Amino acid sequence: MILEAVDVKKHFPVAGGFGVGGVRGWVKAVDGVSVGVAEGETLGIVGESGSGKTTLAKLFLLLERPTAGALRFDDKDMSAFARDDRARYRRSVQAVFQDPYSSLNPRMRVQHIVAEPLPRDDGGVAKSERVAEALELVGLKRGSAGLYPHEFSGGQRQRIAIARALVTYPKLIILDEPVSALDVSIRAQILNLLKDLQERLRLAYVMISHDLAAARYLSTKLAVMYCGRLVERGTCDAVYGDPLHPYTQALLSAALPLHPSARRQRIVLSGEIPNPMNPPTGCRFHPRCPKAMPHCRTEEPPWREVKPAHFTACHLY
Amino acid sequence: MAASSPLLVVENLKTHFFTRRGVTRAVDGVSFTLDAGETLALVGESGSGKSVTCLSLVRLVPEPAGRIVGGRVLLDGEDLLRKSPGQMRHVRGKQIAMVLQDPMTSLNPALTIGTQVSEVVKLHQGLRGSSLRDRVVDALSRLRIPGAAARLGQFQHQLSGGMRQRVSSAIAMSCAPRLLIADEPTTSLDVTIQAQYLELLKEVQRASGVAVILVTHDFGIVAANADRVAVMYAGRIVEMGSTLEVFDKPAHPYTQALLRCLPDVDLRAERLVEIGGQPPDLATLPPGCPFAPRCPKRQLVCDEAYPSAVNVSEGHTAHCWVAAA
Repeated sequence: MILEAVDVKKHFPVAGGFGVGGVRGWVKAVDGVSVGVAEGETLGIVGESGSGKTTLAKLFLLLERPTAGALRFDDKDMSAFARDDRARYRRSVQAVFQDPYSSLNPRMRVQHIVAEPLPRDDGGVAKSERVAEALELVGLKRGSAGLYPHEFSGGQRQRIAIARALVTYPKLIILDEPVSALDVSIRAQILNLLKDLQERLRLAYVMISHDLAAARYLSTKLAVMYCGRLVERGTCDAVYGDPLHPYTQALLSAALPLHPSARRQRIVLSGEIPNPMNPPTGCRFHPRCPKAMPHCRTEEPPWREVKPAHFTACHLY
Repeated sequence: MAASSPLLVVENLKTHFFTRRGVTRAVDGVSFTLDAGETLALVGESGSGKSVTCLSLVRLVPEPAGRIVGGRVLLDGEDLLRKSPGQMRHVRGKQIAMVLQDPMTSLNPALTIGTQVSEVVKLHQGLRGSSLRDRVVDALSRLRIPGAAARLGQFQHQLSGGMRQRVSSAIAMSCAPRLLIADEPTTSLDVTIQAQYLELLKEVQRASGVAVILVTHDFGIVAANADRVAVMYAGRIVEMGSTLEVFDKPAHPYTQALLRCLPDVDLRAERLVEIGGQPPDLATLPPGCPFAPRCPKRQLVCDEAYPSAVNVSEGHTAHCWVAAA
């Protein structure tokens, strides 16, 4: 495993009104999640807003510190990281964000944007060579380095963002909704590019997405989150082909197929995504679950390997 | 008007934006019809003109840069483009209602839900007092808002995203409009909430017989909800037909490419088919077919003139030289 999270938790304090009055409660954004990703693999993390997938990405990027649990990088615990380890980690793990209109500084030229993750003491020539190399990898011309972001279309901007992630020769790239902000005719270009780069460079990806179709295209493993917890995990084909948890089933049935005659039996969930400050007792999904049983209300379902390498947390199994 | 004539007829609608860079032909000759109770999906990428088409129907194109420069919009046989601004105010909200993409911005954060729904009812139906209140509660309950009466005093920040979109739909449906324009109504919603909302919209439509123009870029939504679909590219409808027809036998190379380049939840593709190039700049459109530079079937004639409509089959048309040949 390149990166592994073991029972990771991130709880945010909620302050009283106007920052006075102490802590009113805790938002358990990520509440005990274990996932891992190995070389050449893509771990897709899907879930709705508030499920904690972005917080998990922030933990991976060292933008937040976990409240509990361990993160391991190359089998080394990250809480024991020395300064050098941290620097090495930041070079090895890069990110591509959703909206290339806000993730690129409009006042910087492409060459400076792409070179930003490189250490300052790298020589100028070597630096511009690495930038040119990264730009070529993503299918942009070397000459693009002198231009500003506004001179590019949305798809090209996302290519610049990918070049910036590649410039440090990373092992792992966190993709946070990489195509959600792009036009439909451009999405295929970027998804194919990401797939090609993965094959050529043996990259690992963690792809955060609410777009189940895009996640299916890139992912080899899939983890489904609901209200801060993992409800199901397995290989991509297993989870899509035979979803075990009622939430995964509903989520997949709500994703609309691309053909009018392919209308499937839709499970329309009632109710709303619960407030993570005050999650339901027992299984967090029980108030919306069509198959809820009395003890779902009180007992939290254990994490179980229902089929080989296919896990879920549900009392049905 | 005869009972068989369509509710809405749009003929050769043109809306242009006059900017320093030149004239941007955002909508350039759009024609379609819509029957009562029918759902027409307008699909296209950003900049294809679907939203400007909708704004033109209710005459809310941002002026002075934008202007409707030609065409006719007949609602029940009356040309909306010839109405005075005062008359238009009675059309909007009463006969044509809109639901916009983001209820966070389309609802006023400083007014209660009750105030915002009653505003429309008061204006168009002249109700006051308890009959107004009953009507507002009724409008909210029709969109399955639980505890409608208790919500009247709440503000939008007290509601979830799905609830907010229901409130703005309740406002739209409160005066029993003939036509509902839903501009990307579920883009800001989560998938399970999107499914809830789309089901609800269908139910409301069946109950009220309202015609719906559904603007979207998501072909999954089109497949599940629309009776007919119009595919837009660079300000024009390039293909139109029944949803089944267009998905089964897409005639325009753009539609064909779009349907092939999308990842599907139901099967894992080895590789997606790409559409090369970028959507065109509307200020400098070539004389011929605007899709020609990206089209895999491009021929000489494609660069010379814009193709007229070809009948692919009954009620299914495409603007393409290759499909015509």
